Amino acid sequence: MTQARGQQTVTYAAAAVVPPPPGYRAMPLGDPFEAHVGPLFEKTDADGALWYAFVLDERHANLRGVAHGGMLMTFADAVLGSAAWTATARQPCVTLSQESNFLRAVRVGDVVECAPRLVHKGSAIVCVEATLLVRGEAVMTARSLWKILGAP
Amino acid sequence: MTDATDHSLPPIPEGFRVLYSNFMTHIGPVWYRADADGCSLIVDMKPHHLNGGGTVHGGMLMSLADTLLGRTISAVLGDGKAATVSLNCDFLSAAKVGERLTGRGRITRQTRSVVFLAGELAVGERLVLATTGIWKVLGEREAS
Repeated sequence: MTQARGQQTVTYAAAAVVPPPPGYRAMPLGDPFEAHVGPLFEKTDADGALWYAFVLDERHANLRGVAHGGMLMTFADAVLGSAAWTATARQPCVTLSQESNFLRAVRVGDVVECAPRLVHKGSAIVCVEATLLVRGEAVMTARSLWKILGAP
Repeated sequence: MTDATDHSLPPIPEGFRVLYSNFMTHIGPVWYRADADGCSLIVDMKPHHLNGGGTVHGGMLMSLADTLLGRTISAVLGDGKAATVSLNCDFLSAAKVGERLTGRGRITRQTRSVVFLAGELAVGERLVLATTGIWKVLGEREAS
């Protein structure tokens, strides 16, 4: 067992160099895990809505060669967190729960994008949701509840 | 390259194997064992698993939940025979660097076309994440 562990090494890859999809700019990522799986991108559309995106690459694939659900959920968590944070005037929040529905397989090279939506802001809990799109078609929906830290 | 062995934690128990898929290798190493009644995971928390607040990122925990339940199905149906349709994750407590996360997954109900599952991630006795999920059994054409 010790020997097997000794043979096991892991590469802490620097953030991959991926050009932004058209119209997008790279997001500054303060979370080490997001930097590890990123880059992630953002843009503001003509109507003022904030959009987020990432490009699925080989690192994100599962055993079937399509997107691991974990990468889609990580992207959703990251951008829903940004939406919750914006809705609370940048008060610190933590995820209480996330519900994710997987509608279509996402393939290497696909650009995954979404514009998160605030569902409700209570005094202590914020509900946000997003539909992830590839070429305009829904591939996943995510809804999460966030607790505003310190709020009763 | 960094040696994945964390000498502050006990050795990985006998019977666990490293999961080799692109995403699990990228965020791992993730250790896995098929059990008679489900599946177990072990992952030691490292600095690259964190969020900006210094605890383990929800995306990392949900990635492990997805893999935990997915491997639980693979233990019964074989690899690549089912795909995640839905996953719910409740974050019960925070995990930190240097902690060993253990996971247990089990099937709650299996039909011809879908499988319902449940599982938990914990540090020792402390629950970190509770999850339930639904997987679709893939037809011959969809399965790899």
